[in-house]
Amino acid sequence: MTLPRRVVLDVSLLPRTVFGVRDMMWWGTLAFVIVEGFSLVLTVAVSLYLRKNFATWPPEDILLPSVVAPTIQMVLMLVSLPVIRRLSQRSMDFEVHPVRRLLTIAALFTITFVALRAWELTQSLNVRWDANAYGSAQWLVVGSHALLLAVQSVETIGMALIFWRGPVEKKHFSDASDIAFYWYFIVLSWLPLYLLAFWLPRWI
Amino acid sequence: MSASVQTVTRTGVPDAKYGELAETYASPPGFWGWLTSVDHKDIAKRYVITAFVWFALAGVAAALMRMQLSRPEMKVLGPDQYNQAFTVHGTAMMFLFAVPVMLAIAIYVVPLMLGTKNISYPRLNAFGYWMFLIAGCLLFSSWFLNTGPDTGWFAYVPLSGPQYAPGKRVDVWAQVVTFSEIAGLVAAVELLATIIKTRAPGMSLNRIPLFVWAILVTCVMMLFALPTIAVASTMMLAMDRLVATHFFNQAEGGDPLLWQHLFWFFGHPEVYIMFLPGLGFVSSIVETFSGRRVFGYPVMVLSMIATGFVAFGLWVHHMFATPIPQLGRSFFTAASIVIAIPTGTQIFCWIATIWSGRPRFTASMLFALGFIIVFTIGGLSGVMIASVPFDLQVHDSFFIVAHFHYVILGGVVFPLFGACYYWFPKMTGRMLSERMGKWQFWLFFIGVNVAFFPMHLLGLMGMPRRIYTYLPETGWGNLNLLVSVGAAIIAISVVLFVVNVVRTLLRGQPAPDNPWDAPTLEWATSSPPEPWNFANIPVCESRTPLWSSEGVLVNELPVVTGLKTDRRELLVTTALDAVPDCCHKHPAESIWPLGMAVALGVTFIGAIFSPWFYVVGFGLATIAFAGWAWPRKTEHTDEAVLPTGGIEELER
Repeated sequence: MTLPRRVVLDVSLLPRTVFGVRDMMWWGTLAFVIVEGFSLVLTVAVSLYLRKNFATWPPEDILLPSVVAPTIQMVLMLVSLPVIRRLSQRSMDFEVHPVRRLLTIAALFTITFVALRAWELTQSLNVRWDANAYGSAQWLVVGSHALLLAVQSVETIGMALIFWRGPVEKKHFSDASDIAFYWYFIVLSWLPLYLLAFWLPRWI
Repeated sequence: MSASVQTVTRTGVPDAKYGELAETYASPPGFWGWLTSVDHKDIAKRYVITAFVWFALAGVAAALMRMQLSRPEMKVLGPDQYNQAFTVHGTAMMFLFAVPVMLAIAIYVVPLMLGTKNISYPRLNAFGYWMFLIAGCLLFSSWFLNTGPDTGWFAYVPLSGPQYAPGKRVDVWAQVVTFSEIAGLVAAVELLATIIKTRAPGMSLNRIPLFVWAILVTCVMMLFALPTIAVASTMMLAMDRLVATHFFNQAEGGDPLLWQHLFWFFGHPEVYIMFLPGLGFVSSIVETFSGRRVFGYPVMVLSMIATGFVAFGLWVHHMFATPIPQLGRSFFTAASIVIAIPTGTQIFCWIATIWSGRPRFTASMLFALGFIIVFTIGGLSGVMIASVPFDLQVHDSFFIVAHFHYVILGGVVFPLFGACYYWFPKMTGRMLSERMGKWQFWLFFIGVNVAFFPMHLLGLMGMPRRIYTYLPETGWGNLNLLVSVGAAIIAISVVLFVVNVVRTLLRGQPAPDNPWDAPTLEWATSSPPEPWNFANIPVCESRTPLWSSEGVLVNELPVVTGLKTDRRELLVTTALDAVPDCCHKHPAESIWPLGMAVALGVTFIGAIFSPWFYVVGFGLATIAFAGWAWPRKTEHTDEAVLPTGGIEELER
């Protein structure tokens, strides 16, 4: 026997597209940011734990990492932040042409980031992953973040393509805004990792 | 938002609207519909069934071990087969049964308890199930092919490293862990978002059912515990074996103890991740069958949160036999004892609830009571081994095996069977036989104690873990035989449960909407629920929305109107007070969650053999992602902004 119903609320006039913490997708992004952020923290813990097994960091026969490409990368990432903030604002205003343009710029940024990261791994670290535990730890720290960069790149390019070629709905503006949220995480999480991987070996 | 009050006497949905809902939520027919389903109830049911299949197969491994150990010098299994049996048993029970089955029931029950129409990310939910399925298929197929993992469910290095474990057995283990952790993480994320954003209007934090609180705390813990094992196994152990990194190779500056730290930083919270949902089951069952609200609701919630925090400060008590500084040992001893406090507090709250209520001793309630007894015994032996001198004495002995089986069977399996009897009518629309349920309970209760209590004594007599046989002169034979008899009684109990389920599905009594006179919202809809769960989202006016303040069933349900019926919409509410905030359109069926699972399946199984599969896999996953996320042209003009290829100006 079904319970009789008594209608007490009408929600038909509530908005169908919202942004930030009001949007359910934002909470999923936050949860994945926690998962990925904590994974990066673990790579740092592994690196520092293994450091105690070495008299010098890097070990004596290994070159110091080069800082040129990583510093260019870091500066580019910081430069991208105002652009991405603008993307977020334009998304919230449902401005389709600026969002399309800014997503294209963002996609170009991510392609550059991935290319520079490949250079950092192969040319700047100056050590292979299988040389010793120092090399393994360096590749773990930089490589883990590289994986996130690759995912971010696919997402951003995909979103740009939707705005160029796909049937765009209002909810996609909220998704574009969430890209900005994830972008902040990617850039800000790289800052301590950059210092750990490329500068700490010079300081300790 | 406008508010109006009107009384309707039936379902609250006119027939025309009902027809439209049925059309909106209709899934494709046949096998294709099964493959593409995104209904949380469908996914949860197949999750539960699959988890029980893995449970049965892991039980076969246990049965083989018990046959082998039942008498001295038995020849049922050789040493290599025995190593595989205990590794497969432990790996399957921990990664493929204990956690997933609890989450599976949560995936079914939580959206109904919250009064919403589906889980927050239904496609992600489907993807998680496929990952879970692949994990089990990989583990058991490798076992049947004699390449089953053989270094224990914890895969300690250097034993599991490239030097001492050649071949692919440990790589299989690492990828089983990868698949199961991906499945676990996506389940945690989608359950968290569901709980935070889709609660029925009025279900503020202090009105959330205790089971949902348990899942909330569990999922937050998973966000921190699961990445640890994923990093340790997929990115470190597997890489040491695949591409010669040196994380755990002492000769090149690596550190074997690092593996133990990482593994147990995951492994110990995992214990609480397993049984916190069990505590939630017990809270639901005890409340309903005591006929009163759970005593000490705020204390119960705070205890669960405290357990979640303290659980991350205990991991070193698994490592007391390694060179840990004295101060560290003292700290972790203290923390290990401290965690008994919140758990003990909850046990007192349940006893107070039963004491002051009008208890009905159904099969479900018996399992909840069995949990209290068995779990408390496991907890007490846990306090004993929190002490370093005692732990060192019984380390790696059968005393430890006895302890954790009391905790896990008590904390997970007893509540799980209780939950099965409790929610089976909602899931299937049929009532399990109470008589068979009570027989099953007593067989299980006796079997567990006969199987595992003597293990304490065997441990104190010096019998080590993970030995495939022993000599008659040790004097362990008779107790081992008793343990094996207990294991056989457990097996009979489980078979009885399966018989009860099959019999009920074939010709069980139909279940009414609320057969137990329970107080939470899942009982306010039909048994089993329609694909849309609730035609009208209910409004939550108290912590027990189907009971009045005197514990009597209410005679009408306040509901929400205004969600569209020509599309799948969820009502999104605010995180703290559950005030209606917006409506969220839900995705339709899709084959791409399966496509993504296949892409990742190829990637990680291929990566057992070659690192290049990671490159191939990234490409495959990108294709699957594109299929998953690329929007279809909407039929609803109020949603469209730019149709394909069009450049119309935005319509606000």
